[in-house]
Amino acid sequence: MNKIIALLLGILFFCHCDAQFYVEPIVGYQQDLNKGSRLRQINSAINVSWKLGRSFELILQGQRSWPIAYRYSDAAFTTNPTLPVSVDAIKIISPSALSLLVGQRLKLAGRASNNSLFFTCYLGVSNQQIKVDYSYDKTNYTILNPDKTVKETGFYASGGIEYMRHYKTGRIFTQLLVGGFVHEDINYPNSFKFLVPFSFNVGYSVPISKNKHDKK
Amino acid sequence: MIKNNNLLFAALLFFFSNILFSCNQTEFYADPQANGLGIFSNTGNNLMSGYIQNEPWRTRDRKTGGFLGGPTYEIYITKQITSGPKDNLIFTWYVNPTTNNILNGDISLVLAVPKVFGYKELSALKGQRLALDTLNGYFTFSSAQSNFTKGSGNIYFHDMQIDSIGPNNFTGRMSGLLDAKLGGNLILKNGRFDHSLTALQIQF
Repeated sequence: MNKIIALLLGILFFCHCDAQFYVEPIVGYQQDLNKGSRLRQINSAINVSWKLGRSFELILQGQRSWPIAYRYSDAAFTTNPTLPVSVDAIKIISPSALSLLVGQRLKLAGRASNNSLFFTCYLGVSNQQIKVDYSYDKTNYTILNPDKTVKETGFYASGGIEYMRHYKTGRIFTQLLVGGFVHEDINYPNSFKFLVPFSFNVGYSVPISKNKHDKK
Repeated sequence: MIKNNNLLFAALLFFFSNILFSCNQTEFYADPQANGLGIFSNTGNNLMSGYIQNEPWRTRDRKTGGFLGGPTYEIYITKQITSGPKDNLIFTWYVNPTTNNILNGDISLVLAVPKVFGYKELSALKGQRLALDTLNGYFTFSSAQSNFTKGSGNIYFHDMQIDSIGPNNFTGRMSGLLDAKLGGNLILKNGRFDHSLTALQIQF
């Protein structure tokens, strides 16, 4: 992990110190694309973006996905003949994530206007936790096929399209991104997988310094 | 040519490794609510586990047969013919040996069934919860230290399904919960079982 962080910092060190850079707070909403999943998250991130050319920007992103807890109905059973054989159980699943990513913006359209369209992609390290809580009579009943909390750190990639509008004081942008772990499996028969989030984000790009590249 | 030889070698290696060595068909997923036990499942994990004297007890692994030995199953279902009006249907779970000798015994469930009871009738147990008082059925624990005392208990068959796949050939599955007094001071708590079944395991 330390090597990866050092590599990310190294990449940033080699960026032009005189390049235009921006600080970009981002908020958004994301929905898991895994089949049958209803898991959702509130997305937040802070970007530091270096404009290295008219059509290319390098980005360092710290990202946090906040859980929207989802309640499922489940069933628990007992052998105790004095109790009903089954009762309802409530299962609450809360997915969250913390990521450090390096990304890039490639301008696809809009060189000569205030409106630009970018291809945006990120690659880095993410820590995902999917927390599972049950609510039922745990003394007398046993849950069938219980889910369990999982936590994993691994390589994460995302990509998508970004629309940006330029103003004198900064830039407003919206993103549609799809992401996911590059290769991480859950070694347990949970009813869910690690999220493949489809996210809609809105951000504001605050220019910190200006140079020759900062025209559009 | 070399590539073809490599493929042939890999195929032969795979073939002979399957013949020589058996495969484990038991999946143990630890229950986060019950330390040392497998989860209560109905997905064919081929496992029974529970606490005996508050120590985890579990069945042995199911293994396919190989050149070095035949298959081993964690559960067998048999029928014992009696001279009385009913026969005995016997489920036997075989222990995965541990260093604790007190736990090294097999658990059996004995149910009185009609003489005409056949394997297809096993499906009737699905969804039934039975309270066994040693007269209508009982549990036993067979080990070097045990004397096969009849014990009372409760069992819930969440699933019990036998599907015919040919003349006298079938597959099935069973899952559920149990707790029992196994005779003497031995008490089984939080028992849970989940098995896929083959015709080799149902011996009647």
